[in-house]
Amino acid sequence: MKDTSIKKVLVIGSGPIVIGQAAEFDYAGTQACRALREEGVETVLLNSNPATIMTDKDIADHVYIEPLTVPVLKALIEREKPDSILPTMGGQAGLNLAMALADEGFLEKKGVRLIGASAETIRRAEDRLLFKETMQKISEPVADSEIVHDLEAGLAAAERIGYPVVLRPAYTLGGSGGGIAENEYACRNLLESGLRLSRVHEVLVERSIAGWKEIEYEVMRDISGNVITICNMENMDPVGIHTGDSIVVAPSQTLSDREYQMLRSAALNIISELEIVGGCNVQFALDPKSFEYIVIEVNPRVSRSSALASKATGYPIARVAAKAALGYRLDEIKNAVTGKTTACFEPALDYCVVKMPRLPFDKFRTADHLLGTQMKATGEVMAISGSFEAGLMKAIRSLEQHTVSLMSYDYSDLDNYDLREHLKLPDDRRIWLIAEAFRRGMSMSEICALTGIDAWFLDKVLLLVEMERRLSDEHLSTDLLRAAKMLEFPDSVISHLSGVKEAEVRRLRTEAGILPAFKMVDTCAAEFEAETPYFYSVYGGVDEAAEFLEKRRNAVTCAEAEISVMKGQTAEEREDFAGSESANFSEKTAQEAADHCSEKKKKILILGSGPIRIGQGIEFDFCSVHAAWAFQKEGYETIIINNNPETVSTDFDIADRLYFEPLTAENVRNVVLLEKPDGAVVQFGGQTAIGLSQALMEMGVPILGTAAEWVDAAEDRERFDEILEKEHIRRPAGDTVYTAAEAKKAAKRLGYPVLVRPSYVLGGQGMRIAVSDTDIEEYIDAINVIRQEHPILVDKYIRGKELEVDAICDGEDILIPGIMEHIERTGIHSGDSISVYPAKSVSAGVKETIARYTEKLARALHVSGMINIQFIADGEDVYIIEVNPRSSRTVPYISKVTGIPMIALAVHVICGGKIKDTGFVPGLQEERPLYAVKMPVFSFEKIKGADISLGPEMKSTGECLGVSEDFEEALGKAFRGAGINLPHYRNMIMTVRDEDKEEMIPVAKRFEKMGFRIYATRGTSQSLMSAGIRCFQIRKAEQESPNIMDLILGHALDLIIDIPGNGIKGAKDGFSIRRSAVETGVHVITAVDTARALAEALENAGRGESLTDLAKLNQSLMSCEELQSEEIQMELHNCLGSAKQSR
Amino acid sequence: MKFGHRGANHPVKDLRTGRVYITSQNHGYAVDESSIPEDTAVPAFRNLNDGTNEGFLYKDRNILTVQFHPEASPGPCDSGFLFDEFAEMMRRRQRGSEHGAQAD
Repeated sequence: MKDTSIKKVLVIGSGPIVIGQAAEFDYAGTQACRALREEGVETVLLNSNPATIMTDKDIADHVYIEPLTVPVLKALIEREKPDSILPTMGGQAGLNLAMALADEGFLEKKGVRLIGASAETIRRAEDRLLFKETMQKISEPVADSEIVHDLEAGLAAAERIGYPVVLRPAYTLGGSGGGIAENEYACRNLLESGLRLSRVHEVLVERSIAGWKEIEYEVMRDISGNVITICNMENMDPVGIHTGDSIVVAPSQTLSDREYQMLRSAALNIISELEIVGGCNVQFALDPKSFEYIVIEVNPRVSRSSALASKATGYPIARVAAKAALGYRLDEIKNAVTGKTTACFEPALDYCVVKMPRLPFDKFRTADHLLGTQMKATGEVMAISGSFEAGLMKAIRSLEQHTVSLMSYDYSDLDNYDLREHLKLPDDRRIWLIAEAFRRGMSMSEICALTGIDAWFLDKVLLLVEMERRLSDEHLSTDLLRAAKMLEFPDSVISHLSGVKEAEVRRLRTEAGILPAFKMVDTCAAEFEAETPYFYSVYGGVDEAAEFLEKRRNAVTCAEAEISVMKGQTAEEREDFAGSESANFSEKTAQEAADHCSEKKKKILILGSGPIRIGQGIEFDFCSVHAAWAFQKEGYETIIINNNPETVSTDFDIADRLYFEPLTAENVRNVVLLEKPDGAVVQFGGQTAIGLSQALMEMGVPILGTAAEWVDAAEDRERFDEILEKEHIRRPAGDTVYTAAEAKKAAKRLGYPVLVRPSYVLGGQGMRIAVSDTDIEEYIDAINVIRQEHPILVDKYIRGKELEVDAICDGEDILIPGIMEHIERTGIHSGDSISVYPAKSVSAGVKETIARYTEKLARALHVSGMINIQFIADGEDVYIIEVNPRSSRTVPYISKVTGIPMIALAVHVICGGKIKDTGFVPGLQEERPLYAVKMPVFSFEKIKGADISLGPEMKSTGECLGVSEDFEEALGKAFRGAGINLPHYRNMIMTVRDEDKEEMIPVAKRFEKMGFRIYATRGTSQSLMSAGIRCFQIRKAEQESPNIMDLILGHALDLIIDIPGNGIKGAKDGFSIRRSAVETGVHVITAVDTARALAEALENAGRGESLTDLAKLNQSLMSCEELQSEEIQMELHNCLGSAKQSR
Repeated sequence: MKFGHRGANHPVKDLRTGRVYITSQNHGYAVDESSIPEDTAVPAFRNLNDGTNEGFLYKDRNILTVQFHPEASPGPCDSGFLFDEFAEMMRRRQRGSEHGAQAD
């Protein structure tokens, strides 16, 4: 039964998206908050990430976008006085934060309890020693291990256990700083960084079980002790590769019933012993040669794997976990998918799910591609199909990395010896390499031995390779075509291999009736009827989606018939009805039923944004989900296609129908043929969706909103220049080129430095500042490697203030919620810059010009819906950098801080509405009485070998927000939210390029004044000293010891300000310094502007924590506008002001 | 029953404790609870999905019946405790008959 003493619950989110902790926690948190609200529980939400859906005012009653730090959480508890905290939805970050307060005794003192998992439970699952004891108590085996707190003890432990050993730092996410050490040297290195990264300076040295199978179980328990398994999953790669970086299949494919049940029972024993109320993830290693197994890890919370399990089975884990935390028994909770059965059952899968990681090596070309126990993937895709091999093919083309089959990479320069060597080393392209090995006739047993992958999986790869061969050798008969489609070979690949044109392939199979059927994900393998199902395509089999649609059509006809009967009745007849009220009621219900399912209701197709990757993050999922909600409000039936299991958009109850499919033209076409949508929107799904515009138009689906030709006009250099000229708007001089020679000519004419970039990309991929001809040659080579079909742009680089707007245009009027200003000047990608709303250091004149230009451009480009524009302000001169007639990554944050529901307005406009009839006044909106600072967050420590210096190509994985009435405080909060919590040692290193030395002097002075001890390399120290700043000169890394490296490895540094020069040479200088710093946990800043902002924030630190309830604030702001009442103005002021209690 | 119960994921509630166990099942008929007189046996287990009977506990007799497969081959071992319970029942009976006369 529900525990009625729980009335107000604080839910902690997971903070900025970093590698190892991504969108899955937005999904979990959002679902949990909605479940709590459904139960009438008041919810308070804390998360520093403004791009999340969970931080919407519609999701929780009180929303705080504040740094996830102990002081903030304490202040929040003092202010909101929740009776309970649900710490299990915010990943490791949320759990750690709640535990910090529990350990201090603060929660007990305030009478706040942890629900879902008690402090004791969390300790027993997370603390290595307690965990080991707990497992021993219930006779569950764990690997031989020892916990160490210093280097010597660690080395001794490794010696005793025997190399290779696995090192796992305690309390870090995604296994940061962990790894396998083969020998003492490697062990020493890993221990040093592991000890530093661990919150409690603790590392576990463990027996290596590399080569065993890695199996995961998602289990659920309620307060009465009922336990069930939601799903089990098997990693294709053996133990040793982080499950987040491995290809994962659900359900397990190579286990016998005995093995499956043995591990299932173990998982249930563990959750019972830990007394978790809610979801839990248990990871096992299973020796393939015996029945021996060990428990690797237990996560007493929802996790990435539970998000995957939710989407793979249809079982809403976070929702059920939240209800269980409120005290409900599993058999009292309804299965929301079937609507009839209870949540106390084990889902059955009549299909195979394949998850593939999305790795960021396209962004970090210099990075080490090897995979290990440290997770490196930024996101993932999931494919559902009838078999593993078909699922694998679907997953490969969902990755958004120019891969459509197992033939996407060229290995012709790799000889057989190298191939064998390479197979031993797992990297991001291993599956492609295995296919290549089969192509060269390598035997199954040899590949098995080299990779350690179970022969069952390898055999499936072999099946795909054999099909490649048949397609290229044999005549394309109907039978062969059918067999190829059963294996999910895309038409384009069949065409490529068989030499038959793609359109012809499609014609052949359409004529032969080789078309996909859509199957339902219903949690129960069709045992019960599902109410809110989602679909996946498969070749062969009955089309359940068509059946589903047909059934609804019949329901509609019945409902309509009923209505017409009622309408046909005379008033008297109706009076005769038992009660007129009930008659009205049934008419209403019938009408509702008809409305709900009406085929006459227009259908809109919303394309999602695919896997989370650098440049296209969770922001676009926010936009897609809000678009779905807004279209529903406008009276449309919504259909979402997406393939990302971590997101809210792929939750079963967001759109009217969800298709879990690759976002390729062929797969989208299949959905279009079935659903026949009245239109599609592409402006909310980032570049993935925009890229499908052309294909949609060819299918005859009208694109709602800005027409594709105008999207093109914004990208097409010549057309865009014409528009600018006509509108008298300036842009940095530039040229469109195709070759390196042309680029050099253009650069010569414009004068170095120049900005080189490919067109039609998101996140500035391949964009560089070139200072010489050599740079240009190298960059253009790099661009051409990523298959460039579009021209390359070369622009004069202007160093000025960068500003950005997101606006909504209805064809006549334009609404601009606000202007954002970047702290870093041009040259650093907007996604990596600190962004400030409202713009604070430009003149009213510049703002006015920006608003005017925005209006002109939105009209000239015939924008209907969203537009994003980036500007440079050089003094009073304003230039355009780029225009994107679509939703952007700043939309979620601006929507939240201005309280303007931008996506809903854009959808209203797209549906033909006008801004004016929404009650909003067009034009640039008045600035809010607050500052919101959006800070980029990076995951550099996870990607070995990645260059961390910032430039025009985006590198950040996430963002956090600092909100306050006071700018410095907002800035400080943003830094703290990003984990930059200084100082500890008051030691810093500065090494600055020549052109920035002068600007750096005042910044250095400020750090000196704050008591920082400044170390600097020769050039920098000379200029600092000549300006009268006390600093210590240190030798460069390549010089003799003691040098800068020794200082970094001494673990007593707070900060390194290293500003490398532009161009290739600049990138190489100091590369190893920056890497070592990041790997040892030292913060590194690579731009003067960032350094200045940090100084400003630190100078104003320590004034206490103010808190802003954005849900409340926006309510009062909205009413202010409507009523202009002084009373409410006062209330608003109080709302902001009362927060300052602790100052 | 229309389709019967097939598979290794059927939730069965132990009416004596309120706990739910996942069981292995393969049957197409269920016992109509009303057909068993209350003084003969009481329902001990019920299927959570459709509420059909999954077992009885007999009064005055050492009989415990289940319609699912606690032996779990294949399937989950959740209800394995029933064998212990049954064995215990037998032992009790044995003890009972040894000292029988005095006890009853």
